[in-house]
Amino acid sequence: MINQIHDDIEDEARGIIETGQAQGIVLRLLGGLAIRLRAPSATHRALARPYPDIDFVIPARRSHAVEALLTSRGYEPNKTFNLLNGDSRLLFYDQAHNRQIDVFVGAFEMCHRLPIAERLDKEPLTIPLAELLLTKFQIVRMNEKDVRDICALLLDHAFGEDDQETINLPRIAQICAEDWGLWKTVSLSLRKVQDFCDAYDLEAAAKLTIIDRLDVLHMALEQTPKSLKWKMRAAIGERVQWYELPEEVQRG
Amino acid sequence: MGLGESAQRVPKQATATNAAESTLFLRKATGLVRSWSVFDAFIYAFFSISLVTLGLYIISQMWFFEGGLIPALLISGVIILAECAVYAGLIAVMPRAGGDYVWQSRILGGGVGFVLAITGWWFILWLWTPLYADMLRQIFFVPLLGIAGAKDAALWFAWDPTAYFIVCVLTVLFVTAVIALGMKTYARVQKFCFWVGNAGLLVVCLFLLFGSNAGFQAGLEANATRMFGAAPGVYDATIKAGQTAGAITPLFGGSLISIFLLMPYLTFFNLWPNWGATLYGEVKGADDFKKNFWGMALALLVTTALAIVFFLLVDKTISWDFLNNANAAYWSYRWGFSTDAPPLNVWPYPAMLAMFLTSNPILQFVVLLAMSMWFFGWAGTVFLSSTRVIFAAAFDRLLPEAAAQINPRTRTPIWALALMVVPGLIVSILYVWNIFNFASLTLASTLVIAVTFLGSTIAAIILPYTKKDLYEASPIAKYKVAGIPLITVAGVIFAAFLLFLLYEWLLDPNALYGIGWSINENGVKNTTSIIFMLVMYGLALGIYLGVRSYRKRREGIDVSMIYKEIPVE
Repeated sequence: MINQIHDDIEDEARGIIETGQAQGIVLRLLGGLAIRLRAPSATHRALARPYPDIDFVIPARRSHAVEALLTSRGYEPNKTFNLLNGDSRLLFYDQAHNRQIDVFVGAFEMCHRLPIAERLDKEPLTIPLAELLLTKFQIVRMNEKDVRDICALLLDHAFGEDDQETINLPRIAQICAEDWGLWKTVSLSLRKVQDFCDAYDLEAAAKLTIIDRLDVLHMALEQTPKSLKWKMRAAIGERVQWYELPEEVQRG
Repeated sequence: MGLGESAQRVPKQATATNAAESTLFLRKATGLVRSWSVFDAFIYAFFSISLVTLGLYIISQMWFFEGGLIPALLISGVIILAECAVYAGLIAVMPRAGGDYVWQSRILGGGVGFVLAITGWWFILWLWTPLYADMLRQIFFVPLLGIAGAKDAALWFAWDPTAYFIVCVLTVLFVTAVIALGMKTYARVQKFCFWVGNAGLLVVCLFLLFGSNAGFQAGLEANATRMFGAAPGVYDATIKAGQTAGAITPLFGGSLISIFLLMPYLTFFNLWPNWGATLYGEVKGADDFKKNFWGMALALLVTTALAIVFFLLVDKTISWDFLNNANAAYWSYRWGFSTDAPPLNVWPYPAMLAMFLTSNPILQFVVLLAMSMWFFGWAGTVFLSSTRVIFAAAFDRLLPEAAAQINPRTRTPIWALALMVVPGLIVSILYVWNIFNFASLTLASTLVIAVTFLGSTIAAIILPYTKKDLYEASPIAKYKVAGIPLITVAGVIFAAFLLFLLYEWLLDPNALYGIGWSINENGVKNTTSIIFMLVMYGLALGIYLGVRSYRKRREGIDVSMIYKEIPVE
């Protein structure tokens, strides 16, 4: 097997997507690397951070094709993990660069389940900005990198009515209006980002932009009509845990 | 990756003026939401000791004991709590797919681990295939066809070996399909069956609570004759036939020894709250000892309580005496001890008997259909746990890599399932047509697994001393009884129980079980059972030695080195 893995992680991610496309496999980036590709501010000295992993999402029932693609490039699959979880997740390692590829199959399921595989055709490299932002906002226990990623996205993209270069606000609001738990976590995350972005060494105007955009999102979350399911779950409220806490996976 | 949890809390207040209320976390590795919740694991454990299938089936075969059924249920339930502690501890230390195989091979050594796990979690499950199928036909096909007015079809399923074998095939097809759906869907299926099955049981219990014995006698007479063509006077005739067969088992009473003698039978039903042990690599929070323990222990306690309540209600309305006699009449004929066909000419399924209290066939049908969910929610247990043991052995290169491969389209572990299904159907043929006296092997299905559990229990007893670092770093290190590790104390209690069971099964001093080489002159010396078990252990040992030698000679791999490492998740 020939190792075809690029040294540069961004080149490598693009290479995988292109190879996949040639083989009829749709792969789209998410996570920190996707945000770096979509938000130049992610390289701002105040928001820059390392990118040790590549995260992809693929349509359901394409695990086997992706496994073949990545192993042919020189990645080492986590066989046990992939066997037991391959209908929803796959893990691969690039030992030479000490990197990892994490593939979500059919949906994104971490603290909350997000239907991100529904709109893989919207963008050529990454999932749409709305879903990208949601994958970060759905995290219950945010870390420093998550806050920086959100700040970078919000700094470079305004909310709008559709995708491409704006963050599709109706899409986010609608997903959250269907799921009280997600709505609750996103609402809490909004406050957290608001609290922390002030600490970063950003220009005052940039901070203001982020705060304004957080307000726009907050308003949309509050004002969008909620589904019956949302209302029924809201009645129970925080008495029942509304999120999952993903567990650490030992590296193979 | 950056999207999950697995976090340690890191206060960040010092870095942000407005962050007094907020904190950030530090994530170290990939996060994963595992397929099963603790509740899913509880349901799996609950179904693994399924009252309506395993419980009613084996208790119906226990008509000739002097000890009381209810004290036996209670005492064995308390003892088996030690098993829950042993397995909850082992899972918390090493929550890995493969369970017993991984623990035994890493603690006791590869040869012992492979032979015991492969026989107990793989080979012997072949014998369980016809047993599962027997329960399916008795609680699903026979009563539902009878209610639907298809008397001949009902009786065909009840007695004809070909029909029985067809049910074996249907059982493995259903099990294969439900496993192929994946763990998440499997959890949804068993959850549905759990609620519907319990709703059915509640209705049955209400009928028993508010019914009367006179009403039951009238209902039996009307329904048994209509549904199965039983001769009039079936109630009295059944009691007489049962007494002739020697039905004596009481609901209460008996000496402590006589109560214990029920347990080698009863454990066919209640020894399995740990049946999900091989799956805990896929359960959330599996390193939490308390959650693991209560997931299994609650399944055991709830099932034991349900069994006691159910049989008390049976005694109130149907009468235990009638049920025990009906069981004796049925099994003594089926086992060939009597040539007289039972007056109630089908298996005396207590839920069906309870539904004879109504004359409404639609209600009977709906309730017994709901009760059949106890089978459909439980059926996957025959192969699901075993597939993980096969995977783990394949990852250790003790089985061909193909054994851990899945079909790319359906994601079905086709080879692992084929290794269960094909021999399972062959053993089904032997069992169904009673070739080589295979129908006498029912309790061997429990014996072989108990030997495997004994291996894991010994591993648990010595774990704190032989794998000190692993134990000390584990969440169970803090649990001690009088300074001795809890897992060791629980292990000693459970090992003593298993040794008692093995002594009774194998040497059968009271001539009760018929699967060993009885030291009682009136007991059975079951050559088939002994040969069958020896062949299984011999086959497992042969595979181990053969593969070890092959890996060494052809690939230069020392298999024993693999066992020095704990497999990754």
